[in-house]
Amino acid sequence: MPHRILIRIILGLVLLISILQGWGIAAALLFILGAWLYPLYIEGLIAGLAYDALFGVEGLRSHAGILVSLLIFFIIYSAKRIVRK
Amino acid sequence: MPSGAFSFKAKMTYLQSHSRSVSRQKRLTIGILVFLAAIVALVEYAAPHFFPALAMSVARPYWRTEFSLASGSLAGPEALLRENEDLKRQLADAAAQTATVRSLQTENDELRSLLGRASTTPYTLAAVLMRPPFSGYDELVIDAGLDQGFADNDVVYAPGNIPIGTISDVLGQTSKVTLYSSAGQKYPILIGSLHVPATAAGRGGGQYEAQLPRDAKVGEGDIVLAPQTGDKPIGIVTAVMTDPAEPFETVLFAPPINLYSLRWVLVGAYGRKP
Repeated sequence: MPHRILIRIILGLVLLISILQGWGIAAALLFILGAWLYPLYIEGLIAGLAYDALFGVEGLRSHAGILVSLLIFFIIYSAKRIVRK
Repeated sequence: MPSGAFSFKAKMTYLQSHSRSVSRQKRLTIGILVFLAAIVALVEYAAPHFFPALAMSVARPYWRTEFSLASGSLAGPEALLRENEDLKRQLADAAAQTATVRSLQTENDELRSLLGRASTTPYTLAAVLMRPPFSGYDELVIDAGLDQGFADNDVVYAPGNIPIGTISDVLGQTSKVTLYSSAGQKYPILIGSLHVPATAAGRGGGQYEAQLPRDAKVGEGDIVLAPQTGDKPIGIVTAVMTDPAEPFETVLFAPPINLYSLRWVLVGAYGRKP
């Protein structure tokens, strides 16, 4: 199996465990890493959605996970476009 | 036509069609992402428990296994026998104390029934799967839900009959409990032997604060009661902060248990709205 796919799978599993353990900051850092290394790293968006589904309560706070994920997604991809121009 | 000009024209044509294809691919990707986001938003609106139930179906076995490991359920036979003996000894000690508590409870129930406020609220035991600080948003996830007849606003108690929060979301086999100490939560309380009324505000992490007039005669160690849970004690005053320039003093209090180490809770139907 190519290296990059294997690393992506491992990164995804560690991200999943971080979400299940409730380690929000660790999950955010892993998402930043994954988004930088891979194009279209939607695993991070799914992680944000899962975090809200598991721990969210009423109100805007219940969508903090997906909002932070979207923010990271757009910031990293904009940064990649600027750096790689 | 010279061959160099032909290959240059072919290269230009290839670059143009390649960049058009890349741009089309980008638009397609963005279109698919927007479509998926719309589907997710629609599902969230139409079936708000769909994603929580899906996530719980993955998370619950993981948390149950973690709970079992922490309980020593997967330990070897010798370790389990030793734990069994320890627990039997503790049980014998607790049984002696329980006899006294039971007689006091009976007397309490008799007095309450005389006053027309008999308490027959049943309690259900539930395991705590996730707790602060790892659960986020100052809440607990417990291992019982609709299968145990739980409903929103059911009051959750820590060992010692200390109310700590209410159920905010019920799924099939799990429930989310919003702690009273969660930031932004506010409710009426009575402090001390004089039952000074105040409004408690959650500060997060199991801590509460309340503002009282400066001459309220409240001190450290005073018991804090919550009328909404039948005047059960929810905390003990840990500090009273006074500023001579202010007409109010700030009272800080916390429950007499460590929320970060809670493993079991009791759930009652006291707060259920008819």
